[in-house]
Amino acid sequence: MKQYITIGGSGERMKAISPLDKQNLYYGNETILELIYKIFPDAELLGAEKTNSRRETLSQIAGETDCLIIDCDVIPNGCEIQEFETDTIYAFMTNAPKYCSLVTDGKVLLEAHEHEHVSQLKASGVYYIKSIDRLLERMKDDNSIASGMIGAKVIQENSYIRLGDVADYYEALGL
Amino acid sequence: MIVIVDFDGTLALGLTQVIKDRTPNTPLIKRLWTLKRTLDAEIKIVTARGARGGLTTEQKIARYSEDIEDWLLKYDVPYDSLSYNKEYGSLYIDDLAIGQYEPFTALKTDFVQNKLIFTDNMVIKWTPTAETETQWYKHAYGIVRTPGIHSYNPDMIVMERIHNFDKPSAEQIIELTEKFRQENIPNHSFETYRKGVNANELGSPKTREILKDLPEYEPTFFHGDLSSLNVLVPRETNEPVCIDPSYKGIFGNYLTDAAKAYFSFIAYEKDYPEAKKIENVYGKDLIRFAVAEGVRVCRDRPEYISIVNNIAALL
Repeated sequence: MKQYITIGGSGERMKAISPLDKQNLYYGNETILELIYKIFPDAELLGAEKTNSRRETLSQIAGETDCLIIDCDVIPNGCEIQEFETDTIYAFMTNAPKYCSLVTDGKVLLEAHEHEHVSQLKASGVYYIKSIDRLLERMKDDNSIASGMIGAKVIQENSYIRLGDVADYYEALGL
Repeated sequence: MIVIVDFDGTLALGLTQVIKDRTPNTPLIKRLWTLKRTLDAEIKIVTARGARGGLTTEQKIARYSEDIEDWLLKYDVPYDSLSYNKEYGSLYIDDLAIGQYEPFTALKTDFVQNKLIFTDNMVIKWTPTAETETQWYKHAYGIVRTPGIHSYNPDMIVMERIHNFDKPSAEQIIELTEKFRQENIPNHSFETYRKGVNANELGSPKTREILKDLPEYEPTFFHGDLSSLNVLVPRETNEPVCIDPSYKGIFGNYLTDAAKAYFSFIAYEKDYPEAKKIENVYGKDLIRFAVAEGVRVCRDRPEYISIVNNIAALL
């Protein structure tokens, strides 16, 4: 299975504390990227050239199948490579409105809302995709992978470390 | 009318325990003469000297009275008696007093556990570094604005409270550090600084590499903890006021201060663009010393090490 760490974003939110790319910020004495590599040693970077949207980043691997996509601002502790039979999205529970809201029937993703706080179940930033082409066709929001995964299996986690903006980063560092 | 006047820190100023070396509070002595002449006040001088040592009154008299009375005579202080006890009075004059109707708040600081009491006009700061802080304030006179120091003793500093202030800008920090660059203060060898920031097992490989190879600089005047939190800019004057110096047995110079400000703009203010303005002036050595200053912070707050490592990665 191909594994990709997406680093195509501009990382604007973290520019308040550093000009470094998000994945190169430190969590303890290792960078976020080094820590993701510890979990997924064979992962490749996707989006080394900055892009304008998630769609544009994912278009670089158009045609690929069976891919694990990992956002570069999450350390998915406890996540393991496994065989997936269908599109699968990882999710977590929080009251914070800033993450992509997911609506499910308990098992399967029914709706995804990138900018609306309609549920406490949120996208974690790790996605298993059967077909990138199909995902790109179905994405309703150019910056929401979840929006192209309606019908995907949902797996809930509570062990990932989220570092997507300054507030999350400081909270994760205990500051 | 009986007026009770405290001796140490009120009439006789200074950090020294040697009575003859204490400085007279001349304006207060003049006012005591006014009370004496105008109201025929009975003035009792009180001192708590010997109270912490458990001395008897006789022992206190034997140890201190002659020196205190000589001092009172030398500086022409009007008084009727000297006491080592709590005395009945119509009025009490004491440097460590708060009037019973004067509102105050209290807090303990995060980093070094200083204990602070704020009245409307004063900050009463309990700190184990009161002596060295006070020394710094004396040296800083004429170089940089500081709060007025009302009184001090080995445990406490009573100072003016600054109201309605903003955080400093990078430009204001640079203006301060450029002033510091031109001035001097009794300092210590660079080695004292290098030893204080030994990374050991703390930090990324880059952080440790930087700490091992810190460039040596000449000493200049310095504050020692010039973070954005320790420079208050009153809106009325827009002139930065420096508080809470850390002047205790370690080398410092303008660049270590600029580096602490740089670290604080990133770590505390989350304002890298403002920090960058300081970097633009002082260059890569500023980043090296910001790493060192960050590691000093990590001795009390190790959770800042990620921020330190991020700064090290800029080199």
